[in-house]
Order: sequence, then C-alpha cells, then structure tokens
Amino acid sequence: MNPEELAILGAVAAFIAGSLVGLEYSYRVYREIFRERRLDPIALPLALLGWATLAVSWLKWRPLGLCAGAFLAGYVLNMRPGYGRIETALGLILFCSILLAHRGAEVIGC
Amino acid sequence: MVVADTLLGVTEAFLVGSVYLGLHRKVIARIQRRPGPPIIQEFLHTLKFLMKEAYAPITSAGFLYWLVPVFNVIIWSSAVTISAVFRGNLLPFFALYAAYKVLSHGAGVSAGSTYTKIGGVRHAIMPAGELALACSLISAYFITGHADVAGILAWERAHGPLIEHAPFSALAFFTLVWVDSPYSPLDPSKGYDIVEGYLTEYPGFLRSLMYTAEALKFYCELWVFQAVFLGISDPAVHLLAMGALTILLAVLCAVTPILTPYQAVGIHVLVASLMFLDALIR
Repeated sequence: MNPEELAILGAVAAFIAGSLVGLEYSYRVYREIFRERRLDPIALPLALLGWATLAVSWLKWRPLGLCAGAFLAGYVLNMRPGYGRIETALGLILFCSILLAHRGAEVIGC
Repeated sequence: MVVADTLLGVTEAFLVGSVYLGLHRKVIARIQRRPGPPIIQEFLHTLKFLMKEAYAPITSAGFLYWLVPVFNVIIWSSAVTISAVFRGNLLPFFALYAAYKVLSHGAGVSAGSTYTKIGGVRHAIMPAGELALACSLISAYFITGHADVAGILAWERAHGPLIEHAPFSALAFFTLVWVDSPYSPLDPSKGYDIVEGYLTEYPGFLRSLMYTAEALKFYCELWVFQAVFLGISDPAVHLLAMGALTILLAVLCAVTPILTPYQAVGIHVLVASLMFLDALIR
C-alpha cells in the first residue's frame, strides 16, 4: 500500500472516530430530540475548521491535516439527528469554494 | 508486505464500505423526509453484534450454518484483495461473486427455517445479475485486451474511460451494483434481516460477520465499477467517485417503485441483451 492510500485509510479511520465522539457528545449535551434551522455556536466553527483543513490538506497533501480535518468533519456530520446539518452544509460549501478557488488560480496562472 | 497490504486494504474496504452503506441509507431517509440513522450506523451495528452471543437454532445444519458467515467474509476479502488491493484479474472477482450467491442461498437453508429458506432461494434466483456481470467483463476484455484491473487502467489512460467505448457494458455492471444495493427495487428479496430474509436466523457475532461481508461487497463492487469503466486510479478520487455513485444509487433506490422478481430478472436480461447487441454492432 502506497503512502497516499495509507493517508486515505487514516483519514477514514479519523472520520469514523470523530463521528463516534460527535454522536456520543451530542446525545449528552443536546436534550431536545430534533432541532432544525438553528446554528450551534460550537458546531459551526468546528465544521468550518474541519472542512477547510480537509480542503487545504488535500491540496497540499498533508496526511496529518487530512486526519484532523476528517475527524472534525465527522464530528459535526454525525451529531444527533437534526443537529449539525446546516453547519455541515456550510462546511461543504467552504470546502468546494477552496477547491474551486485553487482550481481558478491554477487556470489563471497564479 | 503482501500480508500488510492485504490487511490494510481489507480494513479500508470494511470502513469505507460501512460508511457508504450508512450514507446510502441516510440519503434514502432524507428523500423520504425522515432524519435517518447516523452515517456510521452500519459500522455501529457491526460492532454491536460482534459483542453479542451467537447460537445456532435447533433446526440448523450445524457445520454449514457456522461456516457460511465465515466464508462470506473470506470470499469478499479475497475479492477486495485481488481486485482493489493488487489490481489483478477480474475473473476471480466473477467467480467469487457466483460463490457469494451460493453462500447467500446456503445462509437461508442452513438455518433450517422455512422462512429463511424462501429468502435464500429468492436471493439466489438472480443469476441474471451474474449474466450481466460476465458479459460486461468479457466486453471489457475484448475492447481493452486486458482482463486485469491494472491493464484496463493503463488502456484507459491511453484511450479514455471505458464507459465511452462500451456504455451498455457499464450500464450492465451498474445494474448489478444497483441490484446489490440495500432497498433496491431490482432485488427480489426485500429486507434480509426481517421476516423471511436469509439473515433473520443469524444472531450475535455471526450477524456481525455477515454485515462485515456486506460492507466489503459494497466497496468491492463500487471500486471495480469506477476503476474499470471510469478509469479512476487516484486513491482520493476513488473515494469521491464511490461516494457519488453511492448517492446516485440511493436516489435510484428511493424513487423507483418496488418491482416483482420476474420484472427484475426481465430488466437484467434486457440490459444484457442491449449490451450484446451493442457489441455486435460495434
């Protein structure tokens, strides 16, 4: 297995670990069963940081950054049902924006 | 190195397959306007059942009953190792898929229950899926001149993705992957773990082994499809492509009506016929 595939495996394992922690933590902290259309002040920065780290680490190929980003992304993505959805969506938008901006910069020649 | 690569590859296949099965279920739930379980639910199920006691029904076939889940994991680990890890020949993949059909039938009949016997037989009456698989792999061989994944990928780097040259072969393989997706309308068995499904009489860690095999199977089929027909060889792009395929499959499973077994077999035969005609014309 080459180093790239090892890094991917590490990121997947970190994603699952983050998901487990996020699921457990969200059930302990949030008492309401299902909450829609409200941004959580803790989950939002974690989601943005996680997806941004994932994007930058993928572009620059930093395995540790990939694992850290995957952990944070999984943490918010797999919170209790109804929680973390908007934060994850915003994080995904940021992820795609970073990739598109990098691609645009490559095309322009920056 | 071979052992290490195999262990790491099978571990990745299990983790990624479990997450994508959970994603599949989540997308279906969202389409049905439900929250759905967490994406890692399939992984959690596998872990939970691993810790539970297993027992054999009094009517079970003894040795065969205990061996079916073990062989299920072995054949799909082998398929992942041969195709995804070492990018070898695809004929063993076809043979292992056929063996999986035999095992799922064996899972149903070895428990000794009339209900699971029906479920096992129903699952095994889908040989039309293997027809489509065989035809698509043979078509890939005749076009590329290679039967191994590495050779097909090298051909695609020079000539473009195989889906452009053999679209109906790709459709046939995709139909097979669709059949094997959970809650598929083309699958004659609806719900393997309830009522008459062949998983019903498998408790405890035996059920965990069956779930492990399901995750490996889902990963292997997605990986082979996107490598052979889309020509993707980058590890990170693999993940994205398989994720996109999972979402597409989930949307198709959620929005299509449930078909009867004979309608499902008819669709398989129709797709295989279209592929055969396309090959004749080209």
